[in-house]
Amino acid sequence: MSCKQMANGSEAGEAAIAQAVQDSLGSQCSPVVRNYIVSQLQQERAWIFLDALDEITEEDRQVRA
Amino acid sequence: MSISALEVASGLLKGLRDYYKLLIAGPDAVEVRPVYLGARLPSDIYIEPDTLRRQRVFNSREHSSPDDTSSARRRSRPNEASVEVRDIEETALYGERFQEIERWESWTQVYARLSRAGLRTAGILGPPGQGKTHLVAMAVRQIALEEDERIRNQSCGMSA
Repeated sequence: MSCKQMANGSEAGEAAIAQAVQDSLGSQCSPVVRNYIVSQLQQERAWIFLDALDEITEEDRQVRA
Repeated sequence: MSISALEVASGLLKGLRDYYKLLIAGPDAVEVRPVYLGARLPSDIYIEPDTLRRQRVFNSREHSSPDDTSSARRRSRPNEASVEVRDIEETALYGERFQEIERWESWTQVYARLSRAGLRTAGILGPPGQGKTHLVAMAVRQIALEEDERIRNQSCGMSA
């Protein structure tokens, strides 16, 4: 998922990550799979990649603050 | 993680494998594949890069790092400013408490280390166009390949 997706979410902290993962998975997989992946986010085996940090604008930072 | 009958019946396993297939095909998708590659696939010609690993370690004056035994391959970064131009404080009087070491490491080593680490946190830095996003896409592909293989093996074990 991109950092932009996380920055644009309405949640914060772990909820923001869960929401961004839900959003980034979108229609790529079924709701069963999507819910399963979100439920596993806090497991040690989970990998979370955040890409495109440079796409975060000053405005995005202010929204999150 | 073991596979339960419920996970098979709910369609979770098939859904996961479909998702993994999507991730595996991701770097080669037509919409992201550069035209100049023609019929060649990015995953076929991909060569894993070397990385310059930077790490801040506590400067105990005895050992730089528990997992760093190849002292010949590492070098200390010099202080950016001399004592005379820095503020007079503890750091200036007693030296840096932390030392930044850097060394070249193949992505294979980095990936292996991150795979077995309990807390895996790494930032990949580089100028635009150096392939950071592609590196991530290929890492995701590798993880998906390994997970798909694991599920396939466990599914075979269940049906046997």
